Amino acid sequence: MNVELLLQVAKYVEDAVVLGAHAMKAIREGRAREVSDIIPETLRTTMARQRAEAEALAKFGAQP
Amino acid sequence: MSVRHDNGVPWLALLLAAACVTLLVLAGGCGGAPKQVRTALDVTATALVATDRIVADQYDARADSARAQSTTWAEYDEHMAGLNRAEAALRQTHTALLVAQSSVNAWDEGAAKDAKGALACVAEAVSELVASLDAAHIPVPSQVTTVLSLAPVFVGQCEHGGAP
Repeated sequence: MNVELLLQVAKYVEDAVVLGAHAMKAIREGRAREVSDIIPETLRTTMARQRAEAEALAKFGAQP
Repeated sequence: MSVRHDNGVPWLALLLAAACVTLLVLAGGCGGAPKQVRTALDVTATALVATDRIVADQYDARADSARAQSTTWAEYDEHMAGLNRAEAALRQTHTALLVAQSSVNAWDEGAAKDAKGALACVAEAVSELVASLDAAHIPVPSQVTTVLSLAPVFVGQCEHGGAP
């Protein structure tokens, strides 16, 4: 069994449970935080893309 | 659209869609209740953050693999096209949520009569996000696509000038 895959699935389930609990609580309490207080200024995926493209630049050189 | 059901991501996407539909119903002529719309924005933003975390992990892993398998930018770009679309969709949803928050604030303060246009942009962005997750082989349940297909019933058009 692939341990890395199991850990990744466990992390997804944890995220889903935490998010589900948050959603239910927010709806029940009518909680309404400002969007800007919840989302980061820069998304993790965008940072991952920037890192990955910097590494690709180092390997392949400048984009044609 | 193909649909897969093999890990926790569907729950995130389902919550995104459910929150989005709540936004649409509330903003679409059912008496408009800014506090409930704000709650839906809160839930959608939280779902976006959780989805972003998952996609970021996948991006890192697949980028490492794509670099190892490629000898040119063109090959690398081809490997990463699906995840780059998902990344762009996440950014679009991020922007749409911020614009929607401003519009709801203006609505709440009486400076605008509703927030339909901005909320429609959130719905459109979430729809593209779900499509891109599917294209990148990140599982999306059929319930989500069914629910999202109802969006045009409730709102008008997203005016792109409002959500850069």
